[in-house]
Amino acid sequence: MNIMVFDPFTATILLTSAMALLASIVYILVLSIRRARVTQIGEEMYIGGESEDILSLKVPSILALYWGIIRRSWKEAFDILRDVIHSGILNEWYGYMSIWLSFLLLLSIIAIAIYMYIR
Amino acid sequence: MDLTLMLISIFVFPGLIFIASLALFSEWFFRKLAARMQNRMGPSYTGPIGVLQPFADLIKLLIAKEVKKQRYSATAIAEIGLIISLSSIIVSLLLLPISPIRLTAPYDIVIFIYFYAVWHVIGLLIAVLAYPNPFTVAGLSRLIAITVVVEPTIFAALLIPTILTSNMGCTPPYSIICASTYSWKLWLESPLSFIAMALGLVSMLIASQAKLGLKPFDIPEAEQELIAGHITEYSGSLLALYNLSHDIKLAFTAIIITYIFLGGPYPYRHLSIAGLALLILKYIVSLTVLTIIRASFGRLRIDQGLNIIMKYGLVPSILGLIVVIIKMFLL
Repeated sequence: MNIMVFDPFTATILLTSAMALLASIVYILVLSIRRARVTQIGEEMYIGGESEDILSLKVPSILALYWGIIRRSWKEAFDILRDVIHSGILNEWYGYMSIWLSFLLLLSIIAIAIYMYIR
Repeated sequence: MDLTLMLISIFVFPGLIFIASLALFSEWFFRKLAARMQNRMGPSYTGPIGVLQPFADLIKLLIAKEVKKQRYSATAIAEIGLIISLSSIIVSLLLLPISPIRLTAPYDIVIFIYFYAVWHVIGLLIAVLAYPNPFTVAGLSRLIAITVVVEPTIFAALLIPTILTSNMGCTPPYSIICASTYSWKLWLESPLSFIAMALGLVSMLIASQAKLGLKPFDIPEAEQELIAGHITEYSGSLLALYNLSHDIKLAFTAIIITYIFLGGPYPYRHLSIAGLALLILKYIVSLTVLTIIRASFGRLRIDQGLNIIMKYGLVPSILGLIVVIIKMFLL
């Protein structure tokens, strides 16, 4: 029995190349055995017991996926906003609306300032 | 380096031909024992007491059955993936003392894991994704979920004998050769190392069961829910390759348990009668334990399965590592 001590890097390279050699030989063997017998019969995919011809939508459309994700991710934020603002008290509604409008006003002032002085 | 011996090791012993025959024998043993436990006959007609049945199945799938193509499939890529997963396991046999040419390096436990955990899984993923199908994708996602828990468990469990043997002064440090040559001594060395080895063995058994996809953990290919899970679309030579790769993984796992946890033929030599008998006995015992676990449980749900692997696999292996560290630094 001969024990061969390498450094880890060389051993990895050696074993990986041995794996590549073995894989290519096995691949050639398998190719030589099976190539003639590949069939296309029944090539359609069956999803939930139906073939693709019946179920035209294999995956949801991109737009539906987009809105699904947006709704799911923003649902919580929307719920918070709704619960906070729609409390049914007129005074609170007035408060939030003035905060919102003053925020918009602030934004427009900043935009005007940027437009007039910085540009 | 002797090139001829190297090629013989890769292709004949313990490489392709030997491990494939051992794998087919192991499958027969496994099927027969499980069948007898469940009051069935098991393979009976091909060869003496059905011992050639797995071989006949393999030949039939390879030669007689045809490969079905599907609109989205890539047969060549599936074959390449399966062959990668198969050959990565065969190559890691060269690190074990069963090989006539023994490649070793300091820290080669990492190289071993690189082949057994990384290349094997990557090959399997490539192969499965080459035949897309809703069932396949569902099976694959379960397979990945299990792999994420199983691979750290196996790594931690294999580290236990490796660290203990290099702590005994064996060179090259942290190598598979050291772990498998001296692991039998660890059971007798001290109570702490006995506890660590026992924890490692238990977690290795449970993790191997999950890695092999055997009964309590055959969740990726749960046939009542997912038809055949990640192998739903396979047929003919592809199915033959998958089955062969699975059997080789079974045989290899039993070999790992035999060598790294039970100590292989040691203290006898490989080529003595006592050594060979001990080696075969340990191999059969580890295969039997795997079979008994497989035949006595029903399938778990994916979350139950992951829970069980974590509780009885990951936690014992980490506890074992902690015991090893206590032994290293306190004693």
